[in-house]
Amino acid sequence: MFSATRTDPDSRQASFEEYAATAWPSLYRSAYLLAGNHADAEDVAQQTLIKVHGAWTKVAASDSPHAYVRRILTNTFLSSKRSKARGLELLTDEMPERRDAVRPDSAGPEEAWALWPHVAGLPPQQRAVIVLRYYEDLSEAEIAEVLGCSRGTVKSTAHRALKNLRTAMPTEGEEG
Amino acid sequence: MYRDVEEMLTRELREVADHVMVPPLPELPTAPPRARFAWQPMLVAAALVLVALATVASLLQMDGGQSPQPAPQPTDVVTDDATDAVPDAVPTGPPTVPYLLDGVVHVDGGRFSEGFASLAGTDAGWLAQNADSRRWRWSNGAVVQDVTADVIPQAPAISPNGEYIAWINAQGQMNGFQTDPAGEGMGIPAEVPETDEDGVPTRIGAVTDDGWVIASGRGVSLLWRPYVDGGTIDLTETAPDQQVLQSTGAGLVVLDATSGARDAASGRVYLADLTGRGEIAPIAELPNFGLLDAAGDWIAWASADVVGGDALTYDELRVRRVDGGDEGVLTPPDGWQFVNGESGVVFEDDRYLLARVTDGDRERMMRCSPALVECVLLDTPSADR
Repeated sequence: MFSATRTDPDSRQASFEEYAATAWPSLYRSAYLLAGNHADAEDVAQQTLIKVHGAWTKVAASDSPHAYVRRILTNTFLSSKRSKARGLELLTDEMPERRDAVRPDSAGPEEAWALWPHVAGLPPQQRAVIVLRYYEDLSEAEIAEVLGCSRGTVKSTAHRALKNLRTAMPTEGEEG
Repeated sequence: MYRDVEEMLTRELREVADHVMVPPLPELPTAPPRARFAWQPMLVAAALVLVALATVASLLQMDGGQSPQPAPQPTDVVTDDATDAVPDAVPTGPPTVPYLLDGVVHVDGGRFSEGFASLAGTDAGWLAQNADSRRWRWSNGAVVQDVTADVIPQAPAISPNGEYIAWINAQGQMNGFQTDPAGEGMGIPAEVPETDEDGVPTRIGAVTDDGWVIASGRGVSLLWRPYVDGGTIDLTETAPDQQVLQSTGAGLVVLDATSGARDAASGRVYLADLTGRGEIAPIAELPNFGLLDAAGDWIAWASADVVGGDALTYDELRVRRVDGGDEGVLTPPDGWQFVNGESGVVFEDDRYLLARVTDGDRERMMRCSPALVECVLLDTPSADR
């Protein structure tokens, strides 16, 4: 883990690299859940690290560097315009990446991940709220802090996302 | 029966994350971060700010010869903070979103005096109709310009966040753009039926904050996602007889036309979301209305018999929480009435709404808190100032 007290440039740089190496896997996993595909996840995670590097002094000095970086990651995702680039990809003959590309060979029954494909299809703001709430396990107040909005907005966005997911997912009787 | 969605989400998101193949750490910046207070970039930035201010000032000067207005004084400005506590009082600071008063559009201290008849949008981008020429004009800063050179038989629409504008031209082509200065067009226009079953030109029912566009009409309902894949989804197949009427900060307003209802004054109307597969997911039932806006947890509306016909003003605006609770009635101070016109009521944020009111002689803006069921007149500039 990095030190938040070292200030000379060389040690600060080493500290950032140390942090990046440690944080990269979890940062990437969060980015993947937000973006829903590897190409965008890599972009978002990498952009986040670049921003963290630029603000390293503040990040290292903050009470919770992890929360600071999570805010950068989420807002990088929300402000990214990768959706347009994905639109261009569809003009090629290549098949788009499957949403279940991470499914292990030993995956269980098909319904094991009944929701994930639909999570990846939610509008970005709703997806972010879902990931922050159910993966990062943040409270409504913490999510509001990350997204820079009110708790009411978080609540209504989560409500809409869950409604969407309930509409999209098969009922018990429809599952194979 | 549905499984418990929240439980499933928690489990699935963790499993997906656990199974993600994490690529190697990319090459990282090698130079140390730039010192935060380097003089050269600060001087360059300061110069750019001065140039921008000078440009804005000169453009505002050109706008009908009006002098630029001073920036609003810092007051108890509405903010969207992280708490939803009921406020002690309704703030009296200037509106934080564009507003229309006596035909003048006021945006962040600036004013545009073309003689506008309607207004929608935010500081990020706004859309207004010139009352004389009937041309649709928009802006994201100091310059106001035509939305399109095309003939557009129906009103264009802007997303609630002001970031996207879309229209349908006389040839039945749906098009639009991002209002951000670095934004892009919507690409190859999407074809829609020129008219609906009633022979009325198809209109833009809604533009969402994500840039999704919904064309609406009787028997016509098409979702276009220009910034996703450019494809369209025929909503008459995925959500039969559901007509998207407008987009609000709390979701889409949808008319259920299965029983033959033709407008929100009589049929079932509800707040909903739209999935990427074209399915409409209801959020909450709405009352029948003649005008309505919604944001966050609140809806505000006036019934059709109150604002219909030739009424120039009306006395009451109803409010309630989206979930149906805390219903109330907002009224202007004695001697004032709501103006019954385009853009007369709009939510400023999740907690406050703005309304245009008149005493029969002049118009003023009023801010209301649905939670407090209270309104205050604002000291907004008059047209001749």
